[in-house]
Amino acid sequence: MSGDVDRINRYVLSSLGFVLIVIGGYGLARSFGSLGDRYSTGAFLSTNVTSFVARNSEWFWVVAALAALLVGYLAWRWLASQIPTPNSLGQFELNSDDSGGFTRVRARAAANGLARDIARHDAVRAARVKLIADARSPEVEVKVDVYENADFVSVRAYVEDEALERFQRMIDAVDLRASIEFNLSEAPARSLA
Amino acid sequence: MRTLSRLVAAALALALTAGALLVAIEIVLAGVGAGPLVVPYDSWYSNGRSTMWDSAVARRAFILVLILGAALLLMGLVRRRPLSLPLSTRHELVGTHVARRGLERSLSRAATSVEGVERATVAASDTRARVLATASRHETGNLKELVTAAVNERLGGLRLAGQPSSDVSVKGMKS
Repeated sequence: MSGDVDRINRYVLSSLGFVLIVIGGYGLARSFGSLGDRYSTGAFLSTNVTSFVARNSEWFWVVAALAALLVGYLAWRWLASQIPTPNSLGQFELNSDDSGGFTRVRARAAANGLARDIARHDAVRAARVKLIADARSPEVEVKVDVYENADFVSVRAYVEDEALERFQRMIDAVDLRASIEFNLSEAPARSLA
Repeated sequence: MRTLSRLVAAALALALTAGALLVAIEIVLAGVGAGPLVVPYDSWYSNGRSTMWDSAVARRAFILVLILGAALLLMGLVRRRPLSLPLSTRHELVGTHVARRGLERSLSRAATSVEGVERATVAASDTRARVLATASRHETGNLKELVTAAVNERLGGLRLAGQPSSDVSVKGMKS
């Protein structure tokens, strides 16, 4: 998510920067007479420009207002993308059977259960789990602090093949999507006792 | 740099949103015969008619625009290291990553675990882990090979998707 925001920012900032460089470069070139002396000595708002606007004022200002609204809308979308949206899931329903009944599960309780299951592994220092809203089914975000001296392959196998599989069966999810971030922690000092 | 560009992006987006909305409102108000609300466009128009392209004020303004544009372009184009590095995929629906900062600290500890290495700084990306180790003595001997082996062992155990190469340099302690 934060990667998406950074990508959007890079694109928009580069585009705006390029536009400003073109405007500044054109202005300076014209100001110093690089485009011809008659362009550098005129007024900033020439009679040609003002008379063009006056002649076409019926549609010009409508187009200008619409353009301003379009820029404002795009800028608003850009601004909104900077603000992280709380997408944590409150609760979800288990797949119902033919009886018509259903079971609601509190997402935080389910997430804590998965975190505890992952943290049972000896090489895991801590685990945090968040269930996030998705259009089709819950999606899991997992952060696992792993001791750096551990057999990392076996930790991954435990988290992905065992803990996540158990969780998937528990919440009766068919295609559970998961994003797991491992953070390497310093190995605990060995006790001499 | 990432924080700075986010702050600049938020400030610019807010200014553009407010400015564009204000322009649209001023145009509508002018259309119904009302005067300027916030934007003093009457005096801006007079200034625009009296200011020449080759005037000092116009040049200063264009230089400012040029500098601002260059700063934004630089901010947008500068390459930042990723916050996390992808691990090799084992399941189609499960995306796995390792946090870059934690990895850098871990590689630094791996480097300093070699006897004779005083400290090490690591900068990791998805293609390379650059390690700068400082020896505790003037002579570095075979420390480069030992540090490279320690760093490669830790990197290899992770099964990173890109399998970044290690680039180790060791400098001796100044006598």
